[in-house]
Amino acid sequence: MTELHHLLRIVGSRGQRIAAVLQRASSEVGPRPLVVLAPAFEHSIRNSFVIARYLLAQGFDVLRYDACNHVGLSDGSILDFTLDSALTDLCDVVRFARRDLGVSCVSLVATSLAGRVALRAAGQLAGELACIASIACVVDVRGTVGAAAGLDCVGEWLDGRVRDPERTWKVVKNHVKYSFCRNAITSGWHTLAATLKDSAAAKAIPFFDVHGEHDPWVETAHVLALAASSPSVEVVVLRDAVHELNAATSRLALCHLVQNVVAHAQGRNLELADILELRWADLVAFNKRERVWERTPVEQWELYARGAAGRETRGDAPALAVKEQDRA
Amino acid sequence: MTSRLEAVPSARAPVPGNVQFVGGLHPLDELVFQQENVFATTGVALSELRLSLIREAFEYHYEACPPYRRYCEVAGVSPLDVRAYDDLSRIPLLPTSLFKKKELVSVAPADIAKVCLSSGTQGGQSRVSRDQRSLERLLGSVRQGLSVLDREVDRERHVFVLGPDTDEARDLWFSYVLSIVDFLHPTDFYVRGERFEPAALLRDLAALPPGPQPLLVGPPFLFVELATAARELGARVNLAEREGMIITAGGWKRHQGQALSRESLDELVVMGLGVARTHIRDTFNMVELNSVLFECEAGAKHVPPWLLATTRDATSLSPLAPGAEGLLAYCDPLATSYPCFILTDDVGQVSADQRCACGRFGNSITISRRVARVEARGCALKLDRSLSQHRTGMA
Repeated sequence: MTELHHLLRIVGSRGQRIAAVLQRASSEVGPRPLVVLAPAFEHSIRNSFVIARYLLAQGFDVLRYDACNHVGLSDGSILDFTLDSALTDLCDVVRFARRDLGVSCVSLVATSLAGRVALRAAGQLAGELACIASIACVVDVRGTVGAAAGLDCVGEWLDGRVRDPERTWKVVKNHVKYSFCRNAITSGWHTLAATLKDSAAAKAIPFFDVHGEHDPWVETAHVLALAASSPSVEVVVLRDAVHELNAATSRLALCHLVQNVVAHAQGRNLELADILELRWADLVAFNKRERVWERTPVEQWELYARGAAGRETRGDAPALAVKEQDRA
Repeated sequence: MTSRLEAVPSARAPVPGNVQFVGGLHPLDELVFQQENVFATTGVALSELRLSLIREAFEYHYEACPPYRRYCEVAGVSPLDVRAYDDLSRIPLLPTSLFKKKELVSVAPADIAKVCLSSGTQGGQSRVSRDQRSLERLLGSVRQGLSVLDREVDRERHVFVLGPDTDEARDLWFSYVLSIVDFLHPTDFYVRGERFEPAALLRDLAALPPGPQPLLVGPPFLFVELATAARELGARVNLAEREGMIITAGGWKRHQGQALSRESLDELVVMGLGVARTHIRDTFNMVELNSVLFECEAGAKHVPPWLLATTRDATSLSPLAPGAEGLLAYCDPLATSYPCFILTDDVGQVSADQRCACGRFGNSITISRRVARVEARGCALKLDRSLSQHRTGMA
């Protein structure tokens, strides 16, 4: 299977440009259900290529994006990352898919901290999402961020030990300002209770999470609390797995995730054994094709902006012109 | 064998909500893919780990690969004979030359993802069949090995390969391994149309945006050419500014029979490419081995904890004491599609398990030479011959 891709920059509601890649199987014609892939913290479009390949193989179009104020090709610096900015980007991309691409069936796959964001987004996107699936959803923001950074930075802001929002701390690989912590508190992101409240408010949208039992950053007990919070939440716990998927854990995790998304978005009940396991040669070839479009400078990606008077686009309108990638 | 996709019933108490517990990781996969510091295991724990993993692999291949089982039966060794750590040396070893003559496979044909070939410069190539799991674990060993190059395993990197990609090189093992490194880091290849393109490499290196650490990977003789080209082009290359690394791979022989010395190469690339001496590292792999060994900052090629490396007496094949020179042999449990219990044609030494000057624990290998009677081999040799023929206009 080869795929068509379209490199986009979506002007979001804050005026920042969100870099996104739309992909669909080249053999398919006509409207297809679409999945938006929201990146984990410190992850970019690149990190989701295996998930994208699984979903493409199951009949979905895929829209992957880089969050603003983050790593990757979207505007802004990760120093200024906040959960509110991540929420805005996620909602902007979903609405772009619904309104500008004209897709009626949009699902969301969100990883780690983006899973937490997705739970709140569900409340704002009622009626616009078929389902949400998450990998290693963060449930207790303060606890997870503290574990990842080795520092209870949210706690430091809460109890006044740090008051300067411009001061920075290092998460895993990158520095972020304490304005993240201020925002997490003022917007009510940072507690388990807040997550459960968002989950309860989003009960109209099926929510699935696949989670590593040995995740050092998210307590399994918290994930189980999320599962107990709403009948629309379903959790699969992978024994022995950690926070990040790897070659040994990804296949089972992604098969469960794909099974769930297909059931809710396409109304098909697949057995796990029916889900196409990606062959090694297929992954190597897909990776090679990914590396080709990655070389396109982001300044050459097509810009899509929604102006006050209606939609303004550069490039072909109203339908997107897709570029066929070199076949492997 | 239970499908890895099947949910295994949990023995734990039921939990409220819609929750399933599934899967479970093999200890070897946990080690390769999830353990942070694989070179921290020491002493008895290290021995027990090797014993457990290799004994299980031996049992598996004994059952799954009929030719290997017959080979073991002739040798009079079965899995029941491997109980203690010292018994690991009883596991029958397959001479690597056997892979030229026989297909040794432990999985069904449909599960073979790639048949990997050795360089075979004088004809007679080893054929090693790998399934997806073996390939994934090979990549896992590369990722763990990167921790020997640089303790920051997941830093952003860009790989510049002094060699052809797989479209051009087809079955050159060196190219194949590096093509899968592309999963981890963007990787570009600079032998194109059977020509090495040092000017293009130097240009792309200069244009690399801030951030990624440059890794230059290739056979030693092409680093000589690169350093020479940099001087002739007047290119100012300072890899040390970006903590860039030179990683040699594919072997040290040239097709005219010369061998490059490590010392002379180091001198050339330090002067010509501005690399810090501590950032020049060698690697070791062969098509029959499913792990890649990387050299640390103290100059030791570290054996990962799952791999058993030993030397054998060339006549009796009995195991030699650590430090004694002999034929290098490996028991590698990472391979699931073929029995990776191999006796090589390389002569060298395996150190005792010890704390290296770099701080890592375990043993390391040193390769002195190849057994004289055996044809020269190596990806570097094959590549050198191919490029030389192109330069002289020979087909």
